[in-house]
Amino acid sequence: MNRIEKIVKMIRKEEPEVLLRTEEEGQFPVLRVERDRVVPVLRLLRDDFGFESLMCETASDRGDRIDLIYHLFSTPHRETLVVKTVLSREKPQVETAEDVWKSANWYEREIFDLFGVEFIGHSDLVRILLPQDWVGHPLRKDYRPAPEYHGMKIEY
Amino acid sequence: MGLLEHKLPENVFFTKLDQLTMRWGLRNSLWYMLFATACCAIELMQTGMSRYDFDRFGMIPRATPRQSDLMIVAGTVTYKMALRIKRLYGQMPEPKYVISMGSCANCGGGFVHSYSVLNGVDKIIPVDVYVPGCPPRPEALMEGCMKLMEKIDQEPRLVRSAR
Amino acid sequence: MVTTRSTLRTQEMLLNMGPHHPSTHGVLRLILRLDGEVVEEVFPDIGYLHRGIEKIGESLTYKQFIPYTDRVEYLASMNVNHLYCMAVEKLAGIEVPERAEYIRVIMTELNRIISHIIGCGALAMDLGAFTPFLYGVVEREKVNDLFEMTCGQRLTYNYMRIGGVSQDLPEGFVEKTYAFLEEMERRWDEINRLITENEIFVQRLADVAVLTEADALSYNITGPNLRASGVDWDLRRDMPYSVYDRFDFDVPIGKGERGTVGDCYDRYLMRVRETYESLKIVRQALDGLPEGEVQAKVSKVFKPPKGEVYMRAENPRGEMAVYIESDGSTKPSRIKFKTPSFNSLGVFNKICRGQMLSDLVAVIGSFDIVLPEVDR
Repeated sequence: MNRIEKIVKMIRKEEPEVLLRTEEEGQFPVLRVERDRVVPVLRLLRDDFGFESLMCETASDRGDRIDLIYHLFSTPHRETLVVKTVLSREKPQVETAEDVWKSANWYEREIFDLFGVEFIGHSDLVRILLPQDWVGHPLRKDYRPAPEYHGMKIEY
Repeated sequence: MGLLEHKLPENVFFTKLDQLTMRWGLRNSLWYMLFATACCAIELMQTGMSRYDFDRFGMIPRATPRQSDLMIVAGTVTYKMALRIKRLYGQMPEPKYVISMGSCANCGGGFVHSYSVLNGVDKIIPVDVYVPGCPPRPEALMEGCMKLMEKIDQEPRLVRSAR
Repeated sequence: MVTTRSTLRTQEMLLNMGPHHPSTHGVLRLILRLDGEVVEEVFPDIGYLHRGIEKIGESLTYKQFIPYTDRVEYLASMNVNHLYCMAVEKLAGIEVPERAEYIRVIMTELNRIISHIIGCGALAMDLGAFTPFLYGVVEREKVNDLFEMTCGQRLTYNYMRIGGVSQDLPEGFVEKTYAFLEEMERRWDEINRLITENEIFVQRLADVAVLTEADALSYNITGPNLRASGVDWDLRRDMPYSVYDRFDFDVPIGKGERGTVGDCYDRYLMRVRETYESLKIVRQALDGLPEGEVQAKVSKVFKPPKGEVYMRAENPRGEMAVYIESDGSTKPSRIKFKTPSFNSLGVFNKICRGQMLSDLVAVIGSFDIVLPEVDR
């Protein structure tokens, strides 16, 4: 039994009601977790499987939904694991992973800024890259900027 | 006998006041503000360093706008930054000049289609000399400065009216 | 009434530093809450150079996007070029010729050297030592010349291509690079003699802004900054990409030689030592440079298969990663750059508390933060 199967078995034992699926065809093993249980699963992965850093947290607009993608890494095992969850496009909401890894704080602010995903329980959820009075979330596929910003015409 | 003594045997020469102070003085001591946003900053920095030695034009970097004559806008200007540039320009004393360095500051460059980039710094402040390139070579920047000196030479009035 | 310490009215002060400040290395803005001269809290305000590169990537083809990767981090353009090309090659399963791999390693390591020159020089300059920077730029110009004769650009190179490099090394490149390595080693010794053991310099950096190992991992600090905290991890050695497994080099680790493990001095020292290691790698790569093609066959209309890729590389400032989602068309559907300076800035509020205001400049310099990389 390889490690990813072990991880899945363990999570099934700890969190029996979690719906998850694994995909193996890509570069790394992918764990698909439902939105409500993603943070407990992440915490379990950190505590029991040694994934001590969150390399990257990002989102992707897939047209009908928003995918949230976590890339975890474990230095002692030299192992990468991808955790994915699906959010609705109209009202994307998910619990924050800030308590699990500190680096998630800024990643989540960036995702909030560029995709408009709301992280429940985040300590400081404000725009990070764009100005505070900016309108819209640019990395969404249907984004159209406001006609002007403080008197400057936005040509896009 | 040196060149200067040969040219001025009595150590006296006559000129107009505005020629001396405005033109000759200003063109040879263009203190530029250390203001750089993006990639061009590195070329601007290297122009000021060992090999290219900006100092020989009398150009010395200043950290504050209140002591500067020249603003070299080196790099991409985003909307968030544009408001700051406007304010910094306002803090510079007259007479003041602006060199727009690199494609991004000239017209938006490669980022012209971006949602957050202002297409040219001349949309918010007046620009005297545009230096093309992405980024321009130090030689190009120096030529831009020489063009600005030529422009100062040809300025008609002692003090420019506020623009 | 006599004013004493107990009757003196004091209050906290909010101080704004930047975005126009000579030692913030670009357009970084820090909002500081101060108690006298002691920093209570730091709020970095970034985004003054947010150019929307990730969105631009979605409207360009894979090949057209390469010049933009230069501008993600202009102090290490070759490294970002390399990272992006590796990611797309992995996605499409392209095999890169051996000579191209060696050329890539030579270029990225030369770029690492000149990036560390700026990193160490700018730190010294912020602390008042101007000379090392001037001396360093003399060597940097030589590498700029080497790059210029290879690809025609001094700063934003656009040299690497998907499946190789744009052109072979020019005549005389190898000899000139050998000569540069000799001179650089001497010059780096000289710069080191000027500052590394200088007592004033050491006092400004030792024990300042200590980053512990646990914090470094939790905030995902990478590269020299992570190694300064005592973690023995280098992607080039531990998970080799390209042809890094063929070279012999050491990985310097922070030991707290003049203070605590993970202080500013350790972070500075990592960069100094890494430069020597990079010189070693370039020399070995030049020695073993094979003959052959420099570009694999890649179709003109390049369409990688549907899928996603996450590629990491050890860049001068830490591990940079790129995440690409492909929908099978000529354009990527999502490009994300995960950049090391972004994480380094994230930890500022944690480690700068209780530091003196004047030390803040040393902290920014020791993390070697470059703003386009933070803002993208």
